[in-house]
Amino acid sequence: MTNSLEWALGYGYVRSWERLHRIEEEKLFAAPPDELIAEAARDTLRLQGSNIDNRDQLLEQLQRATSVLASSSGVSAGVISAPASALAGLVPPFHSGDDAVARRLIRQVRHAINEYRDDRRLALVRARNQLLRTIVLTALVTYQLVVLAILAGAPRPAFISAVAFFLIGATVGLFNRLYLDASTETAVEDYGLAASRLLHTPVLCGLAALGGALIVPLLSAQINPTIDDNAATVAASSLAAIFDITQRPFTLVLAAVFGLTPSALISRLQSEAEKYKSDLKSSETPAVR
Amino acid sequence: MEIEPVAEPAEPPAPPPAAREPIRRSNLMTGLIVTAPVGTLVISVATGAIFILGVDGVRAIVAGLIVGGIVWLAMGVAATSFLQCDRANRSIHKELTTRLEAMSTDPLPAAAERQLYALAQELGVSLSSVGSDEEHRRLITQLQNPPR
Repeated sequence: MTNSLEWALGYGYVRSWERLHRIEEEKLFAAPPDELIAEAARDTLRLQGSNIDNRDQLLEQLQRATSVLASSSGVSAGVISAPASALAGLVPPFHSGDDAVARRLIRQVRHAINEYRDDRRLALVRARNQLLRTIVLTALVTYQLVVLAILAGAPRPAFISAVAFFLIGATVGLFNRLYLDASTETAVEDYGLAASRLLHTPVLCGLAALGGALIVPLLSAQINPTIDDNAATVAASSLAAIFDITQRPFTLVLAAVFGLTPSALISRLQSEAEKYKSDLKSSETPAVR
Repeated sequence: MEIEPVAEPAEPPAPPPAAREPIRRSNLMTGLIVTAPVGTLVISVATGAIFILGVDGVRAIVAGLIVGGIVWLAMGVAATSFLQCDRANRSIHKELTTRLEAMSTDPLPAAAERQLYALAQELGVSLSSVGSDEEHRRLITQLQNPPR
């Protein structure tokens, strides 16, 4: 992957975060005890609000390490009190080796938090790039439909009607998107995932509207016995009649309804992204330190 | 812990003129890839619009491909201006550089400092206030004799 493509696709930023985090962990390992204890207290707060799987073990590890460091450097202020279980077996005086172990433990906890956040960032970037690939494929299918209609000699009014159905579906889909966006978390950077979803919505909803406007009249002509047999046969066999909004204006309503059908898929995509964003938000450094 | 002396990072050498053409071509390819989702849609829209305007059959398809392709190419060329790390996503770049600058003001182990310089160079940031030799010595002393 070329360097510019890495930045454009967002992988470069995730890689930069990973590198920055490794530097930060090295710095933390070499920090003076007071700074290390303050950083450990900060990580404790980050862990307490996070969704990290092994959060409790990490908290315990952090509290044991902080207690050793605090005891060996004679610091007591700012140390978050550890539960009795975390301190079991810890009896001062501690040796110089204990200090090094405590530093390593604190670095490990920071590494676990950083890794968790980097994984979430990578998941957001991957989801966005996957969605962009889906858009390209969907657009290619749309292009093939256009080419097929032209080569099959579709009448121009029918083609215009099909475009109208597509546009109505796309508009309804975008309105629905506005509604879904009201519940999104905007404070966390999503690496362009929301913008990709915005591009995906009209294409998908437009195609769904077009499909609905075609399938429902065809099916109703086949299954409704009250319709005159001859008329039904004519209607079902003639795509030009189905795609004539002057004769069948109600098909516009059908297109609008079917434009909403991909909302389940879109909201599922959105909820996945929201989970990653909420994971990132929950493991952020708390505002009050 | 072993702390090595820090070497000043060299400025990245400018690419020779002969190497610029492949870079430009690679950037254009990247621009086309990045704009592919919109570009493919534009081709469909152009083909449909040309057909509605009165061109029939294969001629409409070819004309749509040409018009849509030109628009896509123009978008790809325009996108090449937004491929550098500081322009592809400004807010993340800003966040990263702020963190880098904040970190560079504190003393760092030599290996970490080298990595910091390398990362800063990749992100196009010049770090002015990186820990001095005096700070390094203080850090070494502190690590060897931690305060009790």
